[in-house]
Amino acid sequence: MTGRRTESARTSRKVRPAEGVLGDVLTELELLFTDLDGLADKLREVASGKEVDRENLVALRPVIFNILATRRGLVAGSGVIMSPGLLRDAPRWLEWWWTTPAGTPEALRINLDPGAPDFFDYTTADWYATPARTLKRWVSGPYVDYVCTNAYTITLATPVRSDDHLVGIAAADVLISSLEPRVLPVLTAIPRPVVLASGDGRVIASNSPYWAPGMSIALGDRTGGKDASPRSWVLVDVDAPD
Amino acid sequence: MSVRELGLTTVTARALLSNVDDSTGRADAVAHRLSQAIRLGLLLDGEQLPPESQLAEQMGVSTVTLREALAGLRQQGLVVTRRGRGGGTFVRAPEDFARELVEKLRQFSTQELRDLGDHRAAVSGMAARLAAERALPDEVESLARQVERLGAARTTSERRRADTQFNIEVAAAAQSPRLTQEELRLRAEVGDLLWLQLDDADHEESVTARRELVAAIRERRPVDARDHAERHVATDTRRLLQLRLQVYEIRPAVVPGQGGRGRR
Repeated sequence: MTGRRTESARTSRKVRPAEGVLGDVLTELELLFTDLDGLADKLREVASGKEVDRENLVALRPVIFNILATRRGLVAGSGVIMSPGLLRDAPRWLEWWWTTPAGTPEALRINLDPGAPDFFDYTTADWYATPARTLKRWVSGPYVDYVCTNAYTITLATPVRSDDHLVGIAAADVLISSLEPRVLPVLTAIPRPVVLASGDGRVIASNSPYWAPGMSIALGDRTGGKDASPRSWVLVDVDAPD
Repeated sequence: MSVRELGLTTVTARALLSNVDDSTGRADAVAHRLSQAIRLGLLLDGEQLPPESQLAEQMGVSTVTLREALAGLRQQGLVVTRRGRGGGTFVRAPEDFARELVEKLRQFSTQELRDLGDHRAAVSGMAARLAAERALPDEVESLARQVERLGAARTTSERRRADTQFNIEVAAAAQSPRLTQEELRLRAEVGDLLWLQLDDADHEESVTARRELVAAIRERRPVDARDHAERHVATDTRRLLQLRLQVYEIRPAVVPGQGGRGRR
């Protein structure tokens, strides 16, 4: 890398799939999706063909706790987010558990009362709305998970369908701080400045001091991609400033 | 079917635990935190507290310790417990709430209030600027919805909670956990002071200003967004200073912030 500035570089920014370079990391995330498939199966088993109350979801806890335990260091929280109106005793509900700093799982509590001033309408949250719409796996974020850990997070989310309707979303949170040690050794081995970004142009990691997680980067035509993911993550060549 | 039993959200619990003050025994410390939360309006009047086991877990203490803390609060009249169907432990805001706020305000000098305003402007202003640089369309829409929730809020405590939520969301849209936590911490520190004299006209003005801030974030105008947020804090600070000056003027028996224009 010469560090010489090319005036046209910004407009001809090279964007390509992250897959070729970050295969191992993406494979690890795919494995997590496999865990979520197990959680989805359990939810289907609990929810199919009968009336379901919140109490019935307690049966999911061993599966959730197992994900938290076996993926410790990668997964900060996991659970299911129910389709509104599906449970008999709560119009909206999450069976969500996160690992506290003390290392024990704690249930997430958010205000689900639509009349409340701090109502959290999860149906509009990207980690619910996108997989619910596309009916495909989705990696949401990174974003500040202010309702739960308050950490910078990505959420792996998979739609759970039963009898042709959406039961809910099975999901797991991965903190950016856990992802970084897996990503940066690869990026720093690349001899030019590159940025790993989500399909909608949010920086996940970068080997350049001019780009940091959370910044926005213009991806040109690729912006707004909400296709199958994490395969939609991209590597972007950025300018090397003087 | 009750979702209101979730009186203590994970966010509120974090706010409660953010200002560490553990000089006394554990039950005392827990009681102190909860009473602060009630006085600050983090827990609203009439709100049901979660079941003891849950609350104990959230406060990081044993159920026995929590029961001891709740017994203390019951004695102070800050919570009431009703037995049977629809029963539980409920928050009861102190009756002389306004007076308590004035007492709290009395603890601040005008210099400290100005300094507090500077701190809040630094946090909210930077959050707004970064949100305008970084927010994705989903986040902007979420902010817009939160402003409408603020607009629809009727009581002082609802407005306060909706406004805190808005500030937290702006900081989250800035992609900053630190600014998000700082907005929450400032709220836990200052609590109701900012709302002492917010009447309906002030509220309308505030909602309009928030809409303008969201527009600046949506249209990626970082400088304008920061300017909007800073001016909002400046207005709050002026209000607080005005009130602080009144506290110097008046006889101790009179409570300012009551009977202002448009109060219903």
